[in-house]
Amino acid sequence: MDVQDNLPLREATFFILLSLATMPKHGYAIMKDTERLSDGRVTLSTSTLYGAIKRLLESGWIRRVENESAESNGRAKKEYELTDQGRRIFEAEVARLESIVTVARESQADARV
Amino acid sequence: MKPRISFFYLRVYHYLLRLYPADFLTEFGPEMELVFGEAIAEAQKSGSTSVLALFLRELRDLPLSLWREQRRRRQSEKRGFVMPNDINEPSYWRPASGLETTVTILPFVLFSILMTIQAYLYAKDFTVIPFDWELSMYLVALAGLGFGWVKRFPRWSLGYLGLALVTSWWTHHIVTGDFELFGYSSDHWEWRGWFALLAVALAATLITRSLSPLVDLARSIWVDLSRLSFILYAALGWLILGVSNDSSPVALRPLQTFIAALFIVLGVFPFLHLHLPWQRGLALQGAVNLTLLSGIAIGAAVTGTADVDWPILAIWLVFLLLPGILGLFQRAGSSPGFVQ
Repeated sequence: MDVQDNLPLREATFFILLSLATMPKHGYAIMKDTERLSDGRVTLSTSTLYGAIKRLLESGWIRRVENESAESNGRAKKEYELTDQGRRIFEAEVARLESIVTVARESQADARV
Repeated sequence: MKPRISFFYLRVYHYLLRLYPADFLTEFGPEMELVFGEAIAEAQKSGSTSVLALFLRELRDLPLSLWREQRRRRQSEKRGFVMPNDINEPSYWRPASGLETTVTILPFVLFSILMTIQAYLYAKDFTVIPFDWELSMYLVALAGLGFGWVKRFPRWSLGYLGLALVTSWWTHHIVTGDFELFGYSSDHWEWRGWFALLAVALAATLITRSLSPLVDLARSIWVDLSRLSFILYAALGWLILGVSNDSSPVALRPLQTFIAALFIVLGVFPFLHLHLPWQRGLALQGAVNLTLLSGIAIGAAVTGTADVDWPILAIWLVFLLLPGILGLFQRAGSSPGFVQ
């Protein structure tokens, strides 16, 4: 599967992958992280979040892990982490966004000259 | 913020989650409730406005999420990836057994017989009708509704639900003869006409100790709109039989009522045996149209004129068209492959 076929990512998907890029997290932490990283611009509801998580699990971009040390109601909390494929997709999207920003800045600089 | 209000949001959220497909609910339901609870607890620190905003955000995103998951599930079923082998799963569809057909069709047959006999007696100038057929139908509808509610609204109970709703409405609005209820009679029933229905609802809720049958009903309708079609069919068919021939000559009414009732009864069979929701919706649509138009045709054939309020008729037909149209949005319903 060509990584480029999956780009560009939806904003919610991008922020979920961004949140998981550093370490595995459970659902609530992903929600809070997304809100923080987007400066409050992207706030995920549980239905949006878990719809996206389901798609990402089915696509193989993330996997579910059980964190025995983080318990809720006596059961291990479910956390999610990026798979190798998910990390490649995420890095490709970051590279795409960087190239867009670079082109935009160069255009602006040329316009001022 | 008072914990009771947060508990209210959590309970509403819990029931809203039941609208998701069973497999999604099994996989993510507990986790979503946990996350929502954490979000509520966090929002409580900022006050009731933050909690309300959080809840409204969930309500805003829920319809699209539900639609996506239901569509994904239907697509998976078509590809054979998901087998709705749970007969309580709303999307599971199988032809009705003989017993289920009998129970489903019973109120329609009873009602048709009673209305035809009444029309015949009126035509023969009987001034006293030996039975109160409206009350009889009301009781049959309420009994079926009560049992169906406790059984979590299986397919056979939907007709009873439609009849119970329309007979309650009818009791609210019309003169009901000399029958008295709590000291009130005839034109004083008004809103009290809904008492019996509310009593059945309360009894069923107490027996099941839960509102989940109503959630199951909503979920089953969401998945299969032909169920809503059938509820409307039961209600509207009764209304058509009751009022559409009022302007016809009295001598004609027994025949008109019998023919119309025949179409009403026959319309139940396609609903119980066609596989796709849009087919079921359109079959019911057709039966109602034939019911309505047959009375007009018979009257026109005998009297030479069609005494019809055409604008009102047009409104009826458009309204009755809705279930059929809604069914068209569910072309990818359960396929025959799942029939045992």
